[in-house]
Amino acid sequence: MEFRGNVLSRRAVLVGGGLSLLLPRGLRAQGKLQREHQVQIELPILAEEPVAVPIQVWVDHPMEPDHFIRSIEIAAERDPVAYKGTFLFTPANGRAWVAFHMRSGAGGPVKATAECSKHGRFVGVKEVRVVEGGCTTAPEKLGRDRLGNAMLRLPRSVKAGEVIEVRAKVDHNSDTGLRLKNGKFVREMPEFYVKQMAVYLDDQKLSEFQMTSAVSPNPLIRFPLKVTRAGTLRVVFVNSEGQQWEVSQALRL
Amino acid sequence: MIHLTRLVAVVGLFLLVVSPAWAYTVYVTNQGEGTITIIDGKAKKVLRTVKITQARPHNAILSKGNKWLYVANVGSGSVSVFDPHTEAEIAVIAADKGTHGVTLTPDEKQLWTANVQADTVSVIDVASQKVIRTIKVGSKPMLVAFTPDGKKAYVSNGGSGDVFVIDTATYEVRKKLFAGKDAMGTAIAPGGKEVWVTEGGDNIVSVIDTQKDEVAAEIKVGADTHGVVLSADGRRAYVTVRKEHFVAVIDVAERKVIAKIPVSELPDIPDLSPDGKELWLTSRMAKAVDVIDTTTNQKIATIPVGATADPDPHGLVITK
Repeated sequence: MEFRGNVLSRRAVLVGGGLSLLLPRGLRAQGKLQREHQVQIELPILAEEPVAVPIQVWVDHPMEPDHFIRSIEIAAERDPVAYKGTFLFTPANGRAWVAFHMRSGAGGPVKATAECSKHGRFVGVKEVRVVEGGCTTAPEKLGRDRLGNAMLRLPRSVKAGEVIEVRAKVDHNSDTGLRLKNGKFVREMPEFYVKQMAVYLDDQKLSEFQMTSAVSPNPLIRFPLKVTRAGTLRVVFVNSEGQQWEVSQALRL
Repeated sequence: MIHLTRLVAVVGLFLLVVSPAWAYTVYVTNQGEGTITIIDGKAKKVLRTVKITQARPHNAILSKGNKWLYVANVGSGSVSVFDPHTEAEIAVIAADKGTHGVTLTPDEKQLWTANVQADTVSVIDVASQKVIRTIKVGSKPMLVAFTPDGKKAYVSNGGSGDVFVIDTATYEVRKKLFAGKDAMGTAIAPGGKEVWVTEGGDNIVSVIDTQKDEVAAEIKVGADTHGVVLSADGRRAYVTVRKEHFVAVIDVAERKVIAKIPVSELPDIPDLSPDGKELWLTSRMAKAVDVIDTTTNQKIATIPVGATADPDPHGLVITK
């Protein structure tokens, strides 16, 4: 194919178009869906604090009872703890979107995979550069004296039908237990981290975030909620040793 | 009667011309080289850069009447007491690991430091220059602000993403308010009814109602909100937005960004001139301070600071 700057030549378009017609119909359709529901990732160009790299991932996609994004999984393959976590959505979220801070020791491509309830997986990739040390940076102190203090923050005014941003956090150290020794990652101690955040409206489970030790200390997670009724929003955090912390707040219309 | 009117006019003119409020000095802490740059605010001219004994001078505050300059040294875990008249560091007070911010209580009897690497606040008795209390706070405390009556302190914790409300009589944490990651800048509004807090991780500024100790408003500003200062009349707030390199001008009553002023790279800590007509701020990547005319919302000067190739200017405070 010939390219003239950013402009595709007429011949290239004709050849490319002809070739795409040779692809099986299912693959062509999947390609179209992939473009329509491209997974979007927001990361800093250079992350100055490798233990807390801000990341936001979203997919523009319906969130209907029979057709919605079930999950978004995030991984950075070059990191010693590559898998960061999976956020599980329900249609009650109203949008497929999540934001948190992750550890990244190496940077490189960060891959987010969204799973649609009907059409399989959509993938997005974005590069991040980090200052050295994220996944193997031990907390300055592994203090267990300040665990908990789970908190929630909702918008001050909430209207039925709108999709709001919920923020939830808990005080907790995170340690991958890995240390870099003579150029190799060595496990020196067990991991210690918040492994799960479950979200409920009264007794209805809305979402869950399954985390790894590659999520930053003191995790603060932002996620959407479509407001359909009043109730009590409840968030339960569980750490790698089974300890739990819970926080709730009235959702008033 | 005519003589009296003339006299008032002459005195008024005299005050206008030689008013000490017009002349002012700007102090900039250069954490990369352990110095303080002293600038003539009116002339926009660097007078001197003075070395201090402590590492990474970070944030600074002036006492009333500009008698003392107190500098938080994040590298040494200390506060330098700097005499603005002799331009010399005359004492060093040990605080705690990572002394990031320093604030005087309104009665100026105590200094409170936020110690980012120790997760503590040190309470220092100014008279004896000793730490008299250490308070456990959230993760990575950044700055402290007091209500004008001195009864409550607000501590921004950037790591745990919260603001602690502390009773200054008992030193007890009374309330913990949710703030975004990288909660940093704190400024008390004139009258003390509100505390403004930048939440850099969420790109917003939160306004805390100090009567209820609740978040009263959130204002979307830009990527990595950091330093904040309010005008003396309480009508405007100025916020540095580090990743987008601008200063946001916020209409306080409307809770709305009304201007975005492009500035040098990595704007950090702002302060206003005594007449409020100029906003000065450190720009770390530019190794300089920028000056903004607040009547036109235009940058009018960039002044290089420091004595070496990498001064890393951070804190900035102006005589009032």
